[in-house]
Amino acid sequence: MSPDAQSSALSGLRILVVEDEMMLAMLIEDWLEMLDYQAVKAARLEKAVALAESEDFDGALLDVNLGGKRCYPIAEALDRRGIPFIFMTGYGGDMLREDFRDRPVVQKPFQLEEIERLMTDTFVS
Amino acid sequence: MDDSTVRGRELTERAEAEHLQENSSDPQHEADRRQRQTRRLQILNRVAQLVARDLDIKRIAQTVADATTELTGAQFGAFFYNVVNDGGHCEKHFAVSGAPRGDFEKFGVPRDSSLFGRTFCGEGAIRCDDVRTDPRYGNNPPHRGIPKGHLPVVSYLAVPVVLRSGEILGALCFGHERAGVFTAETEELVAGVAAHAATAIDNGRLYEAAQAEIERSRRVEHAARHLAAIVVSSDDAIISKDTNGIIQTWNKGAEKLFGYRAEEVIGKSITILIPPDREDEEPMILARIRRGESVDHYETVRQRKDGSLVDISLTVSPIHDSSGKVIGASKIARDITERRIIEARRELLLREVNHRAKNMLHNVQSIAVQTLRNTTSPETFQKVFLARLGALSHAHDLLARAEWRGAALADLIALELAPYCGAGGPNCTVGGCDDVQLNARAALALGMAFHELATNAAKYGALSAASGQLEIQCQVTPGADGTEMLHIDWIERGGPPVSKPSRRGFGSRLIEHGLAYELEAEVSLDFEPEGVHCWIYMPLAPTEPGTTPETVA
Repeated sequence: MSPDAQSSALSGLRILVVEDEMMLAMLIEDWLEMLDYQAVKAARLEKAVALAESEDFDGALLDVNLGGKRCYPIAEALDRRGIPFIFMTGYGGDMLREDFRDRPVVQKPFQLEEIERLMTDTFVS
Repeated sequence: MDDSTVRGRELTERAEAEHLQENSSDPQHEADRRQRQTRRLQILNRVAQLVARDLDIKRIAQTVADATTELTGAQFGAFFYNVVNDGGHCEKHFAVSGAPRGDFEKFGVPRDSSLFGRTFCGEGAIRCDDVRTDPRYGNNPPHRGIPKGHLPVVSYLAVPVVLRSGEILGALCFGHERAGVFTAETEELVAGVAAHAATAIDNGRLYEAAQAEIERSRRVEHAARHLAAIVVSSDDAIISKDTNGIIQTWNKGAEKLFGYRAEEVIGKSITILIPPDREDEEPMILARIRRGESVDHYETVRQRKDGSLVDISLTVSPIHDSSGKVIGASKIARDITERRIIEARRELLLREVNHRAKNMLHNVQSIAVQTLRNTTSPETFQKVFLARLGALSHAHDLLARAEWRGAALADLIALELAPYCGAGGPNCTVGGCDDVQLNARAALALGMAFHELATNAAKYGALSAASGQLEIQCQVTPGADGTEMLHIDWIERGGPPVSKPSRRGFGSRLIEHGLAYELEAEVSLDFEPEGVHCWIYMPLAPTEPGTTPETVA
């Protein structure tokens, strides 16, 4: 399957983007738009948990550190609803909580191709 | 029956024969003999007194050598004796009488095999009227007889000095250049003095040993007192315990570190210091100690009397009794809290530096991608991109100056307006912003926002014409639940007529959505014909504690 065919197959997916850094959130939103995904952004833990519990998503990108708070309550909420997610971390995978170490992780700063490949693997199965 | 007994009997027979000979002398000879006898008794008496009082072996040896040389009528005599040196080895020392010491010193230590040396090997006394005719004489290389340059010896007498233990201490040796000088009587006299000398030297040795023992115990006691003083005054906790972990001693350092006084803990188990989650450590340490092993610089945690925990470095060594059995352990504990704090601070700083560096990279990456999406030529891209990086850099500079605690809003605005306002250019007024402090996050975001507003105004708005006016007003008001709210008004007038842009660029997005996102701000950005009006309403988060080495704790 060619990348183009794959991308078109993925178009329209609804993705929760939890990232508290404004510039990075804008960048990710741009990239998702370029890939024809629909991004729903949240910068804060409480808002993100509420979205994860109430709205439908095909996948989520979770910044591990949200202004000093860990994103695990969001991950747990997504897990309960069977929504796949990818952790975004600035410190490497070793900072992740034990029970989430086997989940996909992308280390910031990342490239478009990197996150696209990882999203395809994780969100489309 | 051994050789020395046979030899002893020979000597006795010879002495009896000589005695008979003397008895048959005339009255003058008898008078001389009595006088000589008196003199001998005086000497003997003097020697006995001297050596009985003296405990110094060297002095005893000299007294004995002098007295016996006089008694025997020898031209010279010497007392050779063994001394055990500090290293436990046997050395031959000697005292000389009737000749310069140097005359003996140059020939070194006598060999056991020579006629001279035999006296040291348990062969008993040797007396020769003419040593040159003795069959045992001249047999040993290199000298084969009396060495060249040695004092002339014809008559020779050597008597061993034997200690109570049977050990041969040494020998008294005498020489004379004439033949037949030494009689059996002389030999007996010397043997008598030798016995005195042996007793005196035995005593001297005992005395020396006792002195050495006293000195040794004095030194041990001194060392013990010294060590005790070190233990008492040490800042480290120094504790001793038996092999069951029962505390035996407890110094001031331990009182300070753990909060227990010595009388509270001596006799109790060391486990009172061990937090519940580390209970398995003590059996491990005790097992090592019982095997005679030590524990070096083991970093762990212990509990104080008040229940608080303290980071320590622990060194535990076995204590042995004189038979080598392990009877307990000494334990030295050092408070490493300070070091831990420094380590934690360094780690935090490194993480902070790493975080900021990565953050900066995201920002640059994000600005690059978005600038690229909205520009059409490489030249424009370069200009706009570098200007945006410049805005980021300005905000960084302000923050770095205040050790990243925050930045003044007025300074941030002034930096972005500086290229466009004043001196014949557009009229800029800024009011109410002077005392507003922003935290790092707000400073970076607003810095970028002001940059976008200012560049847009310089290109299309109030800052593009000399007649233009820009007014910025700040106001801080109390908000809900104690937070302060910051209002910022950006009002442009007097510039070219404004029309709403056909598509939203990076700047609009950043201001309208980015600020809302990053700072929980409410933002409106209006492109009114008379000029742009931007209105920002945001919670004013308190400035953060700095994260420079001085302020991270």
